[in-house]
Amino acid sequence: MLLRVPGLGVRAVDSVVASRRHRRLRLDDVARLTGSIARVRPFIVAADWRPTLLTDRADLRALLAPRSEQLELFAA
Amino acid sequence: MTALEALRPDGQVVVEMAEPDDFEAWRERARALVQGGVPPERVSWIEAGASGSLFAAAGGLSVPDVRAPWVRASRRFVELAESAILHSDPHRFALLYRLLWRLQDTPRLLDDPADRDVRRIGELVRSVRRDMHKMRAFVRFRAAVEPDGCERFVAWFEPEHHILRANAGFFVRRFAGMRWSILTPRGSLHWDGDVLAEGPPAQRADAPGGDPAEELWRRYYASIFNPARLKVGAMLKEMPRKYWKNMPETALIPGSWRAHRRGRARWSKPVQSSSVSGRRASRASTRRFTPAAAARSACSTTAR
Repeated sequence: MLLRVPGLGVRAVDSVVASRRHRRLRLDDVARLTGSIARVRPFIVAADWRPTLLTDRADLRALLAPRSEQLELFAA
Repeated sequence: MTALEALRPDGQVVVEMAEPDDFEAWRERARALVQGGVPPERVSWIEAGASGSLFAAAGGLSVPDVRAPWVRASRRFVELAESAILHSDPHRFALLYRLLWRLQDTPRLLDDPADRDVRRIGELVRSVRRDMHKMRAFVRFRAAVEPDGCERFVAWFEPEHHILRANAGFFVRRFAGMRWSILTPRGSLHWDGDVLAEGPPAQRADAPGGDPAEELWRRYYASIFNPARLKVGAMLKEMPRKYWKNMPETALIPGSWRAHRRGRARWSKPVQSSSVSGRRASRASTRRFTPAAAARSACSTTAR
């Protein structure tokens, strides 16, 4: 299930699973294991974090999804 | 209660490390401190020559109690610590002692990748390993003549961390038959074919300024430069600019880079007309460089 969270890759998930054997993770622990905590935050629950209003925002996708960009066709 | 605590009930303990990369000395002191029950907050580690904590009292090393418990550390911690102690970060001794202290209560601490100290020691080890690797690749020797007429190869290198002694074995094995010296701002190494000697820190002016063979190398690098394979990002990642100033061949890079950009600008212009001879030449060159033709010619060479 962790692998389906946007922003958590294979390496981050491996680290999260390994760390959970020792203790409950806090949000800054997860931040240390991932590239960008801002992308992960709405989808996880940590010992000191609960995404109360963030998950139900209508513009969540606009906040998190990378902007689409038209590539240049004839770039050198 | 141990002797150390009896001596200084609430003061700081200052441990001065004589050598910046001496793991065994750190190990002895750290073992004595853990056996003495001194928590990491009360220990200040200072390098030789650095100024210590302002309010700390200089405390001698206590003799550990014979009945003191064993200090436990996993083999993995010892391996990481041996490498991390070479880092130039002044807080590395404190970090290692804090980890050792915590390992006594949680022996599996190193398996927790989210821990701040565990991550930090991993960063130190990676940085030291990379610096050692780069030193093996980027040391450039220049020939100098000794008073007795023999040739000695002298190199100037500026490592980021205290890796000179740890890397000495590689250079001794690699250049066993040559006389060489590696001079760095942190110390120097001298090999005369039999004995490795350590010397004081050196300056760039102590190394010879040039070498006739470098012109050959430069010509070689200029001739193998392939503009179609220029990848600036990859090159800078593998050969960061901070190493450039001590490598003779890097003087060529900006020039060939500029030439490549000029050439690309010329090629991207629309071609107005092409002469017949130009077309024939291009066709000939295509024929010459097809893999099949190359394979055929290689076969015929072997058959002959």
